[in-house]
Amino acid sequence: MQKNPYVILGVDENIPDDQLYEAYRKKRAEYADARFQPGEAGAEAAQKMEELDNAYSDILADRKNRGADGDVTTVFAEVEQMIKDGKLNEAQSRLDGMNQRPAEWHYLQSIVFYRKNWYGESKKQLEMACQQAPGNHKYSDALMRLNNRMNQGQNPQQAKNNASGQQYDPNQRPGQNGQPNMDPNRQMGGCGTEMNCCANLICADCCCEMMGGDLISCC
Amino acid sequence: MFGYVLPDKNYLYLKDYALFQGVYCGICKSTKKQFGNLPRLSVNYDSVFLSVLVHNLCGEDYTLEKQRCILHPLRKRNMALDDPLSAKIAALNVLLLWHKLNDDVIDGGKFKHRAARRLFARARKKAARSFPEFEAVIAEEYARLRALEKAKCGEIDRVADPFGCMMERLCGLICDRGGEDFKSLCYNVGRWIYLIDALDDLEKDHKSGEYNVFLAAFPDFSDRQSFVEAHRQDLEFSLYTGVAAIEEAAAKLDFCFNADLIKNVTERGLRVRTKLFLENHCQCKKIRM
Repeated sequence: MQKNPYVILGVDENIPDDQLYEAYRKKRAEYADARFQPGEAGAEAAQKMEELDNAYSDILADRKNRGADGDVTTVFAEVEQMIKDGKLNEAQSRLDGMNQRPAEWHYLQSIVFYRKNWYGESKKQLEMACQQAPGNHKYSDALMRLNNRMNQGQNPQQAKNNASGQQYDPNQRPGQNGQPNMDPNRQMGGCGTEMNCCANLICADCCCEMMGGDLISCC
Repeated sequence: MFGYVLPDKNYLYLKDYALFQGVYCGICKSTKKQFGNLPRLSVNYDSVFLSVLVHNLCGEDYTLEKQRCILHPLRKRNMALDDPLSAKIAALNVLLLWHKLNDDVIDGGKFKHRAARRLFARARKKAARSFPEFEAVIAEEYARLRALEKAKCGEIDRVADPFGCMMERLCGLICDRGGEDFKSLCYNVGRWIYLIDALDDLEKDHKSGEYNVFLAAFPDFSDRQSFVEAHRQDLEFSLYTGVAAIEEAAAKLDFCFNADLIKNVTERGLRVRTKLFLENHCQCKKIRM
């Protein structure tokens, strides 16, 4: 099992860098001479020293990483604020600069994409966020909303009507089954087949006009 | 701008049908006035929607008048009289068409494309002189698009971005009202046009080996039908999210008049068109109003 490097060095986790170095040097000095002793004792000391070296470099690498990101949660909060203020480019470059990419990172990235109208990329990032944090409702709800977005702006009934495509279904008359199939405020609400008739008449008119005649004299 | 943005005719008021035709004729006439007869070919349905949109937001109504037109010699037709906004749209059409042809030339460079580009060179020069800001935006975004296409980028959103930005910036130049919603509407219309055009060209691009964003994203093309079926979810997602965004943005905008025509396009026309392209596996190119 890997030991906590701070425990190996015998220091507190919040120790500043210079004190950390001092502690590391002191510990190292303890074993520095012992490693040349013959037999068991020497080998053990050498192993200890290696452990110390590894622990020290681990801590340094870890701190360097964190230094670049600052405190992750505050950065995320900042990015969120930038997105709210509409500064998408700033938010994007801030996200790009981060080394750690937890679920929240993907979530924020997906919002940036979404605001840029890049829906496909947004979906990909959200899916990644969901994968990394399967139990998180914020992410899964957002993904569901995004997937439902395709049909937004219409109630399901209308979406279904529209989905029947360009051809108007002549069997489906408005008001059938006591259920109006369209919002009356909508265009042409309540008159569908009549419209087809009009369109046909206009077509016929156009044809006639092409031949020099006229079917509907007013247009 | 390839002429995919159309109303759903089955739900179109007659007044809006007349308006749509009138605006089309108006843009055509304006093109003729500015650039001569040949560039009238650049007029398309997308620009009619754009024209209605910016007229609405800027609060400038059309004046429809019966006029004669060489293309319909037998009767006078209703057409929208020329105004500064229509003139801008007409110039925009010419520039967009030239850049599309230019793009074709750079892509494949067949004689056909070179000749076509040549035909519009003069009109483009004039349009660029009148509206250098349009020319700059289009050239810049097309360059960005070309770089992505050259790199065979397979990220759908990234490749569609230049076209969306182009529309957003151009519309912003024509009309500075409407704020974020208008911007989002224009961006998504541009994005949608690019994607639907790519979907339309699947077979052609596969045959000729040209770049197509969907082929780059999903390289397993055998024929159109099975391709669309295999990736239906992704295709639907990319297209319909854009449509939903357009619908949402349009609902938030305040329109002065003719709101019905815009509503028809944003709430029905685009959806119907998308559906048609995802269902219909035959040639979809011939679209008539």
